[in-house]
Amino acid sequence: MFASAFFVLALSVGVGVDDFQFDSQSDANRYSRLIEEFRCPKCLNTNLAGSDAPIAQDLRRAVHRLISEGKTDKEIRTYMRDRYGDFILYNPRLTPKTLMLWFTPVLLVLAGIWLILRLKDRRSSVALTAEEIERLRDLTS
Amino acid sequence: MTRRQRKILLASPLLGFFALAFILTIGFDVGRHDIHPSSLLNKSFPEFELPSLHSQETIQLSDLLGEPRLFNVWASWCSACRTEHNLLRQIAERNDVSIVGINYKDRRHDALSWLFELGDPYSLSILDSSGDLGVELGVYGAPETFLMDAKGVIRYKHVGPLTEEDWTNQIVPILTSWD
Repeated sequence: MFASAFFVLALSVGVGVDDFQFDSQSDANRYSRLIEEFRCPKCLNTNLAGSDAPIAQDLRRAVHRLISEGKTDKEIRTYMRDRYGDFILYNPRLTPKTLMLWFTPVLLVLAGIWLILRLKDRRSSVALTAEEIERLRDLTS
Repeated sequence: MTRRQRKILLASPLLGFFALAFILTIGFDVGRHDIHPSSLLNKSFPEFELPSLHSQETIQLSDLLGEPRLFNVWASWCSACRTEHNLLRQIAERNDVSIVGINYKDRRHDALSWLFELGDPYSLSILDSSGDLGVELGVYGAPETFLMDAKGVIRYKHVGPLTEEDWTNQIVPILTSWD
C-alpha cells in the first residue's frame, strides 16, 4: 500500500494526470524516462511527458502497458518507431538519412579549428623582424 | 591575405548561419505533413477485437480478411473528416472496395448521429473509443486511411483527408493490380 502510493506520487511531476500503478520503483522510473524520451507525434516539439494532447495520453498508456507486459526499453522504442516512425524519437538513430544530422556539428567544429589556425598563422607572419623593431624605435623616439 | 580574402573570412560565420537556417526551414516544411507514411507499409494489419458501432457484436480482424478493405479512421469531432466524406460515399455507391470505418476516440451517440446526417459509406464500423487500435496503427490524428489486401497486409497509408487525386492516382492502381 505504502509502496504503490509512492510509485504513483513519483509520476505526478509531469503534466499528465494519469495515475498508473507499477510493480516496482524501477518500472516507474523507466516509465518516467521513456515518456521524457518520446516525442508527441501531434505536437510541435513536446515530449509525451509534457503534453496533454489526447494522443500523448494514449501513448503514455501504451508505454505503461508495454512495461507491465515486461517489455524491455529497446522493445518499447522499436514498438513506437514501427508505428510512428523516427519522428517519435528525440534521440535519432544513426542511418544514412541522419548522417548529416550527426556529423554536421563535428564538421563545423573542425572548420572552426581550421579557421582559427589560419588566422593564427597570419598573425605570426605579421610579427616584426628584429631589424624592423629597431627602425620602429628610431621612428617613434 | 588580401583585404578581399579577409572580408570573405569575416563574413563566413554569418553566411554559414544563413545556410543552416535555409536548410532547417526546408527540413521543417518537408517533415510537417507526412511524418512517416511508410512506417506500417507491407506489415500485417494489427489484431483487434472491438465493438461494432451499430450493434452489440464485436468485430475482429479475422472477420475482415479475404477481400481488400479500405480502413478509414474518423471521428465526429474531426472537421477534416467532413471534407472526405463525399468521396467515401461515392466510392461506397460504386462498390469499388469495401470501406471499414474506425470510429476513433468518439462517443457512440455522436458518431451515429453524424452518420445519420451525412450518410454511411461504411460496410462495417468499428468503435475504437480508447484510441488503442489507433496507437497500433500509428494514427496521430483523424482522418487517416489504410488499404489492406485480402491477406491482411497494409499496402497503402494516407494521412489527412482523402482527395479525388489520392483515390485515382494511388489507390485505384493498387486495386486494379489485384483484379
